[in-house]
Amino acid sequence: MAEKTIDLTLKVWRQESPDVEGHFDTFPAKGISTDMSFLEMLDVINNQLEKEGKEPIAFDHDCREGICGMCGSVVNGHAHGPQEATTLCQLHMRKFHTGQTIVIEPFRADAFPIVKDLVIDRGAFDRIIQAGGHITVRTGQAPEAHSVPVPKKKADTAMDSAACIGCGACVAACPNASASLFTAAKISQLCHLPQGHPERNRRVIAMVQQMDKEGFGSCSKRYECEAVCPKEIKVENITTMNREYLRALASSGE
Amino acid sequence: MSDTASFSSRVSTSVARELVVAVTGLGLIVFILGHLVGNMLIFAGPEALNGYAEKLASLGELLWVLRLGLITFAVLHIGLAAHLTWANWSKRTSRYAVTAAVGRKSVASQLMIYSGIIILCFFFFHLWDFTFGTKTGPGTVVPLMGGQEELGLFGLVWNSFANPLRAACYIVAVCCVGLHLSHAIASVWVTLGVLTHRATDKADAVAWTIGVVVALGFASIPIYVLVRTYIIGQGA
Ligand code: HEM
Ligand code: FES
Repeated sequence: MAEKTIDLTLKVWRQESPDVEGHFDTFPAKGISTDMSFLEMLDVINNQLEKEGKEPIAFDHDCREGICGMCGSVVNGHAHGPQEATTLCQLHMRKFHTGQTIVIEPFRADAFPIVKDLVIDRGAFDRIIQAGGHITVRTGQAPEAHSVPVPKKKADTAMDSAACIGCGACVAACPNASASLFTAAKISQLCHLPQGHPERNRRVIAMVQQMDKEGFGSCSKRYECEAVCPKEIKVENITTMNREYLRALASSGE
Repeated sequence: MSDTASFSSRVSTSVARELVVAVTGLGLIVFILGHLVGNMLIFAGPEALNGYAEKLASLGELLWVLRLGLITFAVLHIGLAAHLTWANWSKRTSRYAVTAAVGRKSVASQLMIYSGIIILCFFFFHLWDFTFGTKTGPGTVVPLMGGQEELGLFGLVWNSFANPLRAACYIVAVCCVGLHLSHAIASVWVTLGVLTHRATDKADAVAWTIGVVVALGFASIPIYVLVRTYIIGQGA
């Protein structure tokens, strides 16, 4: 198949540091191969900028294969761009057409301060995970595999929740900048498994408290998070989180 | 640990507040549905409606217990929902230049606080109009019904709705109730921890249906009075 190229106009959010005002810079992006990924397109633009002696666009990335959760920007109003269930690094330029203007903004939420341009600080997610604390596993020799039976359905549910890569698109898309989907996925991946049971009550309370403390909003059930999630984490996780919370409230102490 | 264990810190999180909004909201729905069924007695004529009103009044102290319960639920629901909404508005101070809603939810979910505020304003007007309105005297005589007879609550309601502007206000208000419920009844099952992914479409359909039934049910009364008064004005 012959290589196809497209010409675009980029409007990119530029912000020197967390505390200064940001603005949009407009760049022409000519001759972009449709086989490129979105991040490769940004690499090309950055090479040009560097040649011209200008500051390249700062953006986050690591694996570039949709598993690490580092990448992510809001592209024309869509977190991770217009393709469903796809991280920005896995989005291809064939999803765009010649003449199009692409507006690229960072994930915006007060709990995710902008470090520079499109790079945000997702430390708040780490602190929510930390608040969750440990699970009881015995260290030492691996236990006999059959000693802790896990029903298939529960294992699948936990696995689906564990698919969350913590990219923050749910927060970016939520009108309330709520971290409910993320927090709920992390709670759900543990509460369905026997290993996560002993701490389940303490865990859900602590993680929800941390979520509030970080300055995220609450869930209004608008389902924007589910729609943009690159890993198709479902709002059902939030149902699980709320159920866990009720259970924790009902049980006294641990 | 002590931080997570303290009772007051457990019940003041956003999730705990939402749980209270959900439970009180469900209570208000039970009230609204009961209210709707009671109102339908207007189609059975003055005796039926007035008899029902008298029966409620004869509950005496119990009625006040019910009313206090209702007021408590309403205060908790409105207070916490407004507080959550207010807090949510301040979580993203830098606005997106471009937004594209892709979620499955419609306008009703965005308008919760506004439909709620209209319901609240309407609630006070409604109390002043009917609950504390004078149910004797000339205001309760319905000319359309031929006689000079005072028709109590029935007459009061009828004459109120015979005023097109007032009727229109009621219709708008009950549509807001319907709109509120068309999102609320789907949303509440997520908050209460029972909605599965597979049941989401069904919950939306049920919520939407109940919203429409509630709006149409309540609106049918002013519409009926208007039609009888201005279009087919014959005796009851
Ligand atoms: C007829 C009376 C009312 C009924 C039956 C009702 C019912 C409900 C229900 C069931 C919910 C869903 C709760 C959830 O998703 O967990 C809800 C949400 C809400 N209600 Fe009401 N409500 C009523 C009146 C009001 C009033 C008067 C206000 C405010 C002035 C209000 C404001 C809200 C708001 C803002 C939400 C959304 C909360 C959120 O998603 O964060 N409601 N309502
Ligand atoms: S760079 Fe790792 S998910 Fe995109």
